[in-house]
Amino acid sequence: MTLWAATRRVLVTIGVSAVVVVLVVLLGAITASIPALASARGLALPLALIAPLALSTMVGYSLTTGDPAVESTAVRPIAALDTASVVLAALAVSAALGMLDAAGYAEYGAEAGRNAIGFVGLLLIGRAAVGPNAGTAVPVIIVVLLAFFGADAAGEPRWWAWALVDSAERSSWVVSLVLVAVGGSLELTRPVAQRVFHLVRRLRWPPGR
Amino acid sequence: MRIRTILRTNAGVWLTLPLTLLAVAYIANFTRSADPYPVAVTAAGLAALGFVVPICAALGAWEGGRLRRGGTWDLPTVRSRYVIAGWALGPVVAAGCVSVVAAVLTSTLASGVAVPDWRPVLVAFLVVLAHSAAGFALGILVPTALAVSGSLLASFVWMVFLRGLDPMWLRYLNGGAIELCCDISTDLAPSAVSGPLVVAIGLLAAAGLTLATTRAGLQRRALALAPLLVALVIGSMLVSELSAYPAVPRDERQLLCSDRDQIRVCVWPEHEPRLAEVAGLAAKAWAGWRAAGVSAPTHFTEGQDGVPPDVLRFSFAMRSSPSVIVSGFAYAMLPPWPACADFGPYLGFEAFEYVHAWYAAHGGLPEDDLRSMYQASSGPDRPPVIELVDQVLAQPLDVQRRWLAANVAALESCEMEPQLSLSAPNS
Repeated sequence: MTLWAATRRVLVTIGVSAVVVVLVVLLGAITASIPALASARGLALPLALIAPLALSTMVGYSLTTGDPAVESTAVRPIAALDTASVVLAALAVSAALGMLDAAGYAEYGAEAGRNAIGFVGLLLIGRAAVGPNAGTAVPVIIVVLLAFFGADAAGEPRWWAWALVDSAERSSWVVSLVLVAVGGSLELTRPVAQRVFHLVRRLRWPPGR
Repeated sequence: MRIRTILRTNAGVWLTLPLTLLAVAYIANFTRSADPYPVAVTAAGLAALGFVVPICAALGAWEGGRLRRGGTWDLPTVRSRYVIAGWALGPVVAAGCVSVVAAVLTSTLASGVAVPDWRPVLVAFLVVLAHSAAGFALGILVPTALAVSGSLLASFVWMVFLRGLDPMWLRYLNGGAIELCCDISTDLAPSAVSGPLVVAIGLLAAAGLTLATTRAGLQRRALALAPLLVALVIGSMLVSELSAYPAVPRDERQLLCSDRDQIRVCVWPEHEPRLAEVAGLAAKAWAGWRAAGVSAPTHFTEGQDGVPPDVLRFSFAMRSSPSVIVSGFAYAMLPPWPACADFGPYLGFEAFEYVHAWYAAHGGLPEDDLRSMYQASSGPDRPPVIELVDQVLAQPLDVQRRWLAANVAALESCEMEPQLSLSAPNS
């Protein structure tokens, strides 16, 4: 467990989580005006909404720090530890930001907290879909595209731009929670999926290719 | 490396088409510029830089990460490391440049401009190159999972969030804010080009030095950032005089003029197809005002040269209707905004619409257009514009001139009450 925590940079992850919270509190209200499609007014994008990308990047990196060959023979449930740690980090950041928002210290705390959960979910889905290295960039790519293509003619975020809408939109929380649930399931079943994948590869013709 | 191998394996090659389509789709939906002014429509195409550049940075990091993961970068090499980096980065930079060109052409061709202005395009190319190289250097230095995501995020924040910071000139350091240039009477400010160019060159040099010192100690690696810091200082000095828009007044020698019926009308070259029509409208407006006994300048210009009331400065767009142009003449006849109004109450402001409507009516604006323009214009303490202006226009010309003079005097000062009736000043 200690070795796992050291390998996964758990302390660094905790530090980055704290930095994200501080960033949202201190600089979260800095707003970029992104030229929006067919709109005279740009989409207003507060820094707080993208700050949790630092967390998803860090946990994405931490999940690549192990040795897959060694970990495939480990007696401890590595996949479960990995999944639990990253989901816990997202939930902890979300809870902290939600409380700070409720207390009036973080203007966009609730939105940032929601995004922390959703971004980690996207990261885990990205790892399963495009691999551990490119997967880390998936939440960032999604946010960049949402920022540039997710505004309507009035410069307001469209309903499907879940990471940009107000936290009062319940559907955005549903999307975040679904993302983390799907991503967590994929990460948890990674060893099984890998075995199935290898089995399928071995069955491909010509055999032994 | 063989070209065929690069085409098969490089991420930049694979993503050129999707990135280009994204850039075109993004720019194609923007509201078109009303005038075929090359620098303005070219600059508008740079709006796509906000996502093209970060994606190039991430692709650069990916390519650097491939060399790092394969251990290729640490092996002894016959070719220079910059040549190796160039082969890896070439397709990435090409993908970014193709996307920029496609976005710019989408903007310019839609506005009827065949040849884009080279200055915004040059800045965009260099910014793409610098961010791609910085991403590549990061990919060599740190694990790929961090480098790809980190360079994408850092580049996105740099390209997008500078616009939200004070002082306002910070926005010009990244090159993206060039898209705010220009209306037809302005040109791209030279410092808005040189500032981001210097910063991009500094970033490029820092990335190059980083690649040269990958095996060196931390101190030497930190020194590699020196060119970027120096460039940021120089770039800041260059752009620090710029305000909200990266523009300077346009060269007045480009104006095209028409002399007709003692009236000289000058417009920008992009408006030349409508010069004869505008000259006719100007002559008609001038004659109307003269007939009403009001002195009006004989020189109508879209430029900034000359001082009112000797010249009448106006502007219009290619798709402006004749009524809008005449209304513009009438606005130009109003006195300038008094300095005192910036610091205190401006009682005369109430007269603004009434005086404009009077000038527009005498300047040849059709009655129906005047009524539709001011149909809903009234206030709790003032009469409807059309109602009062109709009453004024029904009076003898000397009464009209006295009413006009009283309200123009109110517009020129801050303390004077406007005369929003025919009899006495409003209280």
